[in-house]
Amino acid sequence: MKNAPQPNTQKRAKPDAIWLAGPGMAFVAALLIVPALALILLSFRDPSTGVFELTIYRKMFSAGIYVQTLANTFVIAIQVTIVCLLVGYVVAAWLTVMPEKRRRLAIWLVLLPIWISPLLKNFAWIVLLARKGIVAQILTGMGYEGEINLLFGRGAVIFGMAHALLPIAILTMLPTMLGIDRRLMSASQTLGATKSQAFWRVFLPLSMPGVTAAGLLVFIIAIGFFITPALLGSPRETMIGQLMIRQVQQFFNMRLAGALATLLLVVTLAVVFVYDRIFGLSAVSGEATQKRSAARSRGIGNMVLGAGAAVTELLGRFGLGNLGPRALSITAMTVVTLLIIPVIAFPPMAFSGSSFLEFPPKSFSTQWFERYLTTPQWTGSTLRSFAIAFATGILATLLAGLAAYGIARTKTRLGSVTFMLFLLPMIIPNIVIAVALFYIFAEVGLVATNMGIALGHALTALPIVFVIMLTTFKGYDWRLGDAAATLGASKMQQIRFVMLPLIRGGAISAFLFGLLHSFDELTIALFVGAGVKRTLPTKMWDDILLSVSPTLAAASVVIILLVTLLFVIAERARPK
Amino acid sequence: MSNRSAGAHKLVVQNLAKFYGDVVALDHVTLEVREGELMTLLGPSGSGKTTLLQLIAGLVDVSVGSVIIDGEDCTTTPINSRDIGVVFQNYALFPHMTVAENVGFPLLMRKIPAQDIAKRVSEVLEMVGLSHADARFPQQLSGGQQQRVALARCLVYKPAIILMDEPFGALDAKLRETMQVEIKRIHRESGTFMIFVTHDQEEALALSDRICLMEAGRIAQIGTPQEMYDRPQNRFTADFIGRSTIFDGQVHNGAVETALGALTLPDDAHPAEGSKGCIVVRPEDIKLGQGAYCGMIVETVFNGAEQRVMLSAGGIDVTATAPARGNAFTVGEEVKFGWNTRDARYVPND
Repeated sequence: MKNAPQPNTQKRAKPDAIWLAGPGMAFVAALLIVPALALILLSFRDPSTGVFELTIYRKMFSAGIYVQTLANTFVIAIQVTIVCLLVGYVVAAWLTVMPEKRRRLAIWLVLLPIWISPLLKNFAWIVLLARKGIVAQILTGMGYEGEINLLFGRGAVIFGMAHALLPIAILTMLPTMLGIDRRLMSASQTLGATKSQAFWRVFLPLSMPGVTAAGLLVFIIAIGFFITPALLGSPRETMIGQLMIRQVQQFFNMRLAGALATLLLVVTLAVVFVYDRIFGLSAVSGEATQKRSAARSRGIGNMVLGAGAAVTELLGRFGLGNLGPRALSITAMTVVTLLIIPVIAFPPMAFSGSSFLEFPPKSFSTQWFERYLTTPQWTGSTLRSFAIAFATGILATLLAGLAAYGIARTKTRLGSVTFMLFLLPMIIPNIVIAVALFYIFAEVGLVATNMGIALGHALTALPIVFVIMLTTFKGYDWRLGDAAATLGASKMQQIRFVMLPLIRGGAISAFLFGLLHSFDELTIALFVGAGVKRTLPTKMWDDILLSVSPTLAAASVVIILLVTLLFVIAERARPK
Repeated sequence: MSNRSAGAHKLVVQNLAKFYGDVVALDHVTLEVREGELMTLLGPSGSGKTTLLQLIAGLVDVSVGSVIIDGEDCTTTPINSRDIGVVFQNYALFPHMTVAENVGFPLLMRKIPAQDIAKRVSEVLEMVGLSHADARFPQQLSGGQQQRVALARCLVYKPAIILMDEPFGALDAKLRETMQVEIKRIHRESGTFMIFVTHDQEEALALSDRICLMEAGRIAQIGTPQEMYDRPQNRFTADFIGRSTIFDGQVHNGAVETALGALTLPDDAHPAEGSKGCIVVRPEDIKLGQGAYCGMIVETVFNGAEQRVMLSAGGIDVTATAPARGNAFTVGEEVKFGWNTRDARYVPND
């Protein structure tokens, strides 16, 4: 803050606060940028001579399976994105019109599933949607004849992925919608618009920045997905992520894995680039910007909006107009219930007396918890997960906290570059990060170590932890420090008596979210742990692929309980 | 205590300047403030008044010049070692501390024993009339109460100077008046020397012992409120302090040639032939219904005791005041007006 030019030279200029972001930037560079570049380079160079060549790509594009999988991946990701946007829009709009108090409660129901890993959520659907599962029984009971095959198909994969990603879509759209001045709708009505015209012509266009941001995030995460297609899909739904796992874990073919990662990366960056040109990236971080769209796309947009308004208008004339609000809340409540189902379905399954997973259970017993608590593999991986999560939380909070302080205080223009760098781990698919880390960690002996996993988790936890810390420091009134100084407080005293007490809540929340992120993270733990150091999620993943037992449900209950508890604490401490 | 004799300069600002890149926020200002004085830094936004205050407080670094407090050069002294108190624009009360803890904070920093802190805090809270609120948190107080806590937090450690940055900006008009009277009382009782930043000229006229009027990073004029009102030395001061009618023109043959015609120079003004300047007349000195000039009534504003009548004469806006009772002015009406030459001021154009 005191870096103005000083012709007086009585005091030497202090270094700008942005340097505090240095450690975090070095961390991102060392664990993300360098490994990713090394992996890309690997795919382009002949391993023995080091000459630039494209054999691996030629091989990849000539083999039908890779092209097929690539096409599959993008089609599935697009389908999932569309479902998430349509369904998510309904839920977000429903949350927007809700009274403040009820909304806060409802948002919690959407937020909580974010912290429960797709692994658990999909696992729940395996049981619930099984051939003799509860959904099939209900359908049969309703008189449905014929074979019920809900699992292992395109439908199940899209449902499972959309279910896992929907909370993210909803929460990305919500701030924009909440930011729309409701009086604009009233204003348009005083100017002669009907209710549906007010929605189509005013609300919908204003909510679009949130929709596009949600679309970007969902698509990027979806193309790196491997859990859902592996658990809920058939071989025909194989996605790139699965191929990467197979190349690394079965064939040890790092070059091919690197080529696949490069492909994913190129697509991701291309999508992000196009998005940034059209909408501006800052919309993703919640800071809505109004980048003027080209006149032509505007004209098309207006036609679509006009058509939408006309159709709803027509429906209204047939007396269906009042259906809107009620249909909205019924749909939204159904969706929110679906989101929370895995959380409530596990406890009954875990206390089942049966020796196989079933819902609803027919008898009660605690045998599966006993099994969980007395199996060293389970308890060992649980403790390991805890230790790694704890280390992750500390490391990520320190790095992100320093950087957030630096960005909040800097007078240079480096702030936005630093900001983007810290959000980078969110934009690059997790599976790419995991493979890159595996590759580089293998060189330095960090594969199959707890520290390696914690470092990787700290990297992927960085964006969320950073955003919370930045919000915390942005919400802190820096004049309070100045005020304390005029009252006689030294730099250390300003920090101790004024700043720390006021940012404590944010820091605790950031730490806990970092911890939560690590606790049920699967992808990085799977690669870096390399089957040797098993965390709780990797242990579950291996077990689900081998044989599904009720012990898994018991483990899931443990995870869900812990996650819910920590989530509530973190959410309460988080600065708004 | 030799340098604390009566009339000694409590604060001296010498040739002080602040640059932000190419922008000159404060342009080599020199200012001396006397013991016990309540001085206002007045000016439009961007005039450099807040920069001057921040430089005195040490909140921003000085580019050129020096700040001398109580005979001691403080130009590079860290904020926390300067003997000053600042009441911030938004009060900057610590939200996680009670009123008593806020007020006790500077004493805690000075390592004063706890029982002494408690005693001095309750004394000061009594002085500002907030004894009952000591256990409350800032956000539970009204704007006026927060303002008083901020002031108490400065008074409690008796700094050499208290600096206030637009302290009434967030208060409504009625509360503002109450707080102005309150500040005058506290200033009298505590004997503390205060510097006050404001953009509100009425507030400056009502509060200050002296006003330092600033424009574009420089001092336009320093003086008592009476001097500033009666004897503005330049067009900016004449225009900014109070209302006035300004006739711009050029000096010719002992008069100023303006759009209204040749206006006689007041006796005390002897500008050079051909120099540019203006004749300034305060509204209360303009007499309506008589005089050598004629204008059309554009608007009338009822003010309670009096009414303000705005005329247009020769393309110049003329403002006059007349008693509200017994005078009926109709918009669009032509009316004669004039003034006594000794009530007018000649001010050179800058």
